[in-house]
Amino acid sequence: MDPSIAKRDIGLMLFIIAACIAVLVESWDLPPGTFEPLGSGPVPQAIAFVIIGLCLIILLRALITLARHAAPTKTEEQLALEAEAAASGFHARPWSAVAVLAFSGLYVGILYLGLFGFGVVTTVFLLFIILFLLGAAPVRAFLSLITSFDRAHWPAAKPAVIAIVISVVMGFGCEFIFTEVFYVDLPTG
Amino acid sequence: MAPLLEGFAHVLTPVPFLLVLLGTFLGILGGAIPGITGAMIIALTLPLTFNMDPGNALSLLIGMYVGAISGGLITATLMRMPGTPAAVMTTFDGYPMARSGRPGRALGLGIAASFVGGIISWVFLVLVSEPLSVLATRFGPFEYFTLVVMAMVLIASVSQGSMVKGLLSGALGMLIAMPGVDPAAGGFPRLTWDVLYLNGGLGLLPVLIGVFAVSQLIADIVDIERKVERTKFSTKGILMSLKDWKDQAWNMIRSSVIGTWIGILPGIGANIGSIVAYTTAKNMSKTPEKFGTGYDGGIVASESANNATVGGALIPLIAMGIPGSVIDAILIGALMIHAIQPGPTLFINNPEIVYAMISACLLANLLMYGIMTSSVGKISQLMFVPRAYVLPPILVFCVIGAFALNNLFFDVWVMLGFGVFGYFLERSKVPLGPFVIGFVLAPIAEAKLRSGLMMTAGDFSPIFTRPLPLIFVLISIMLLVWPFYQQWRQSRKG
Repeated sequence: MDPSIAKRDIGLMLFIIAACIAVLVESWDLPPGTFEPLGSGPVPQAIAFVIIGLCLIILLRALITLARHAAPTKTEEQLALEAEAAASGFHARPWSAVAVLAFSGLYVGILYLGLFGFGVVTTVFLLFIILFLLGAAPVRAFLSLITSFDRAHWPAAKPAVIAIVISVVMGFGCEFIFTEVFYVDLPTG
Repeated sequence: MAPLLEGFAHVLTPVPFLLVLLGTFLGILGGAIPGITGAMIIALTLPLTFNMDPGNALSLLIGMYVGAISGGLITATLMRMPGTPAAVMTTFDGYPMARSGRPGRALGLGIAASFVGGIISWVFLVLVSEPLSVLATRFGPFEYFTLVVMAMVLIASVSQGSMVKGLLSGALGMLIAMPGVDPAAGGFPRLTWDVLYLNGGLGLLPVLIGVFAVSQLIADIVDIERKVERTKFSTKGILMSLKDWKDQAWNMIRSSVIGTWIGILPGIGANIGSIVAYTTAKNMSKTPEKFGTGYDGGIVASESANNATVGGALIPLIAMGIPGSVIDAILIGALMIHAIQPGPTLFINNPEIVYAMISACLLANLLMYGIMTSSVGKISQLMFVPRAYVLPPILVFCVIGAFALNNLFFDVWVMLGFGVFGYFLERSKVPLGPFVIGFVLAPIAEAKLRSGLMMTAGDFSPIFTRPLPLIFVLISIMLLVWPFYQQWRQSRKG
């Protein structure tokens, strides 16, 4: 097993075991069945025990793998990623994913509170996320374009303009289609 | 025969026809755009079908299913990046052929093979599903329970990577299905932690969208800077010559039959079908050394088989209510959302829906061939749209999709939570297929077990005394023990 996966396994398995213990505690006092002998509790309990058993096997394997690779050598996956990064300039962006998830949480929270309508909030959210993923250069170029009216900035600013168009069309388009055609009760603000 | 013709008459009317056409087209686009999978696009479309006639909704989704499996070959051939996992084997020969200046021919072979695979599996779908459903109506609760257990073990044992992780994934899916009011216990809530929203259980859609769409989006954002290799496109050779048809006929038929039968096995999807067919074609070839170098036979074997699994996987879904693949698990969800009970009685209670699905499958294959041969050049341009434009709108669709069923923000939080959980499962190489299939099958398995125990006053012995449950249990044990036995034999030899 790849040591980097072994490390990930340990964290994930501990989380799953904790969740299963919570399930076992919650299901322990469920009453027995009225019409059949099993009742509500045994099936989730049995599944939770199976999961804990499987997690322990995976944990054990992960620990053995890490013990065998005690010296912090680079894994095949890390080496492959480094080679790819060197060849193509590719770098994984895990913090971008964390940021997008955080913004998504904020977006859903604002929709839940009903501060603004779906179309407005979605347009702003989309614009923000697309520009965030595109990076700073298109935004800077767009700001230069609208302040200096210099057409030389247009090629670099074009992605930002596309982002604005997509955001407005998707935000208000979705609001119209889902409320008027598919009768989804989207928040109106 | 008459109900089948009625099914055709239905799907050839304007609305169902347009829905199958739209579904197939969107499926091809989804398959062709890296980072969008068939399961993702179908899960996201499901909320749009709430107000549709169930037959039309299923026709749309089946069109997408066929399209998504087929569309994956475009990216596999032109970018060496399979648009769907089912097209992994196509990259081995499709990309080298495209790189050698014959992209049109590589795509042409793949499209024709996909079409033949789809048609052959459709013939099996028509011939096998009704007799199998008649057989399944004789199943008692213990037969059904042990069949579901066998399906779960089978899914876990053949899913990619470690079998223990496959089993873990299936068991996690089953556990997630447990919260909610238990109808068999007089409406008593279980595993709800006094959260009222959990009384109805975790919704199928929020879990599906989270696990398949949001987790994929997270992975795509992490890799957003990854550059892809691409080849120039030309349509030369997009239509196969008569000589090619003759040369590849046996390979197409054999791979399609392999794909169909692998598709029938519960939970085993198109990727396994294409791997087995490719390996078989290579082993039976007079020139096995040519495989992997841009060889016609490799593309044909992989593409016939992966499309054939679509029809094959629909057989257990229609006949027994057991999903043949992850996408079939979503289709079962679609049936349930429309208050249709999947299972052997589907042929009796809702024959019009069954035949609409079967007819839509054939129509989708015909439309797929037409769309792919005529517009593959334009579709291939979409592969290069920057993902920064594509991913955020999909995230918005995910939010709407999770919200739409019950108009509850709780479902949106559930979706985001399962998206993160699914991402970490994937990072640990825990396959997601068994998770979703376990989630769909667990309530069925529990209900059957408990109704069986009600009939026998708590006696478990029919599981071991009746022939079919015993066979299913023995197969399950064999599937569980076999990999360990093989490992033990290899270590002894070593």
